[in-house]
Amino acid sequence: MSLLVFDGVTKRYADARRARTALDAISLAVEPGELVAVWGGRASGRTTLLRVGAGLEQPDAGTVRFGGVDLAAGAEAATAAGLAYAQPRLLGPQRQPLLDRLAVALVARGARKRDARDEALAALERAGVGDCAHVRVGELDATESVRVGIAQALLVQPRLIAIDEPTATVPLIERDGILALLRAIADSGVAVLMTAGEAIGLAGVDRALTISAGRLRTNVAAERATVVPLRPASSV
Amino acid sequence: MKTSLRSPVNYAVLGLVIEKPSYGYELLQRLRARYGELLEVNSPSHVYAALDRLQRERLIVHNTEAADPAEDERPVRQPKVTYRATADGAVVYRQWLAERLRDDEERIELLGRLIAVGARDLGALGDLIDRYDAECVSVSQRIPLVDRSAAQAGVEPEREFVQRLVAEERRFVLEAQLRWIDYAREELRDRAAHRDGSAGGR
Repeated sequence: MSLLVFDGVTKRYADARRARTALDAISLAVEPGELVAVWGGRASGRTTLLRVGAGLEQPDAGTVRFGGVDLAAGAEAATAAGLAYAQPRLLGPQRQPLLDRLAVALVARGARKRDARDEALAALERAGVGDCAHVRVGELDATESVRVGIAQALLVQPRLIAIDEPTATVPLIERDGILALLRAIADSGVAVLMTAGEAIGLAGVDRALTISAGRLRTNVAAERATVVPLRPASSV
Repeated sequence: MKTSLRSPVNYAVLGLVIEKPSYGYELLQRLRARYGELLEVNSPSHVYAALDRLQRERLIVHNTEAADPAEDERPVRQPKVTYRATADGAVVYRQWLAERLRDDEERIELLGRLIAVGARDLGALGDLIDRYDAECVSVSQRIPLVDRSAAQAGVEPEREFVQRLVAEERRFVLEAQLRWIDYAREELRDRAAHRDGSAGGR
């Protein structure tokens, strides 16, 4: 059974001067462990698609189901079913040490303090930012913030992580590292649904979609590329 | 420097000689290994013809030397003729390469005419754009990701670095292609909205 299913999803925004259709009868499915990227230009509907898929916004027509649960039930039901939305940056007190911030959420859900810290540290390490554990939240750079958002999403033991433009804010040479991390997460069985404002975000994904004026145009499941380790010179 | 070598094989051979001085048979092997089916080289005489031509143009020179027996296990009876590039050769090669990197205007014009014939109406053009989109997307998907965490211990070898950097150009070209596709669709929608005379356009 597909993990996340959009069925005829339409979403409109209206302001005083015009009505805009952000999503126009979108149907698509994300399978368990699949890495799916949606490419689109400005105002294409890519971010709306992601937010509706994460249960953060409700469609005007059609349904979104995650693991069989209708996301009309709200974001909490989605989280309980294993759907995590990776925050682009941590809000709240910027002087708090990162590890404390992540552990607090686990303690709030009933974990013991010590276990919560171990678990948070493991998630940071998995996301490649284990060395940031004792850094203050406000001191994270752009790339670290994206990785921390992914670590935080991993803490809820998700079956799918939704992430909006993970490579948009990071320096060009850091992009591949973020994409390789998402690739590794998908390979471990956690599906990833991401948006991309650049073609580069499509590298190594299982399925690439393009969206334009709220309509899906392309849905390609090509033979994807592999992650190539940058091999250091043997003699130094 | 104004030289016309015409055949890309001539330039490919020149490039290989610039990269590393070599003898004829070695160049044939390197040419096949590097270019595969990209360049049609049916016989060794192609390579020797290229070497002759490059020598006549003074882009390469040869020197005859006794071969190093350690390099080759067969007993060597003849001294090897090794070719190396001249300064002019390096200049000509880089100039030619830069010209190839620039868009080929003739090719683009031809493509434009082919599209005009293949898409006589807006529906057909929209369909063509969708196919173009799918092609660009699947190429983007196949571009390998580089994992830098493996390289903490040292520096990437120069040759691999150069190859990777050059391959990266393709990603930026794909980016531009997808942007054009997005723009073209917007134009088509805008046109359709005006024709329908519908209020509230796009």
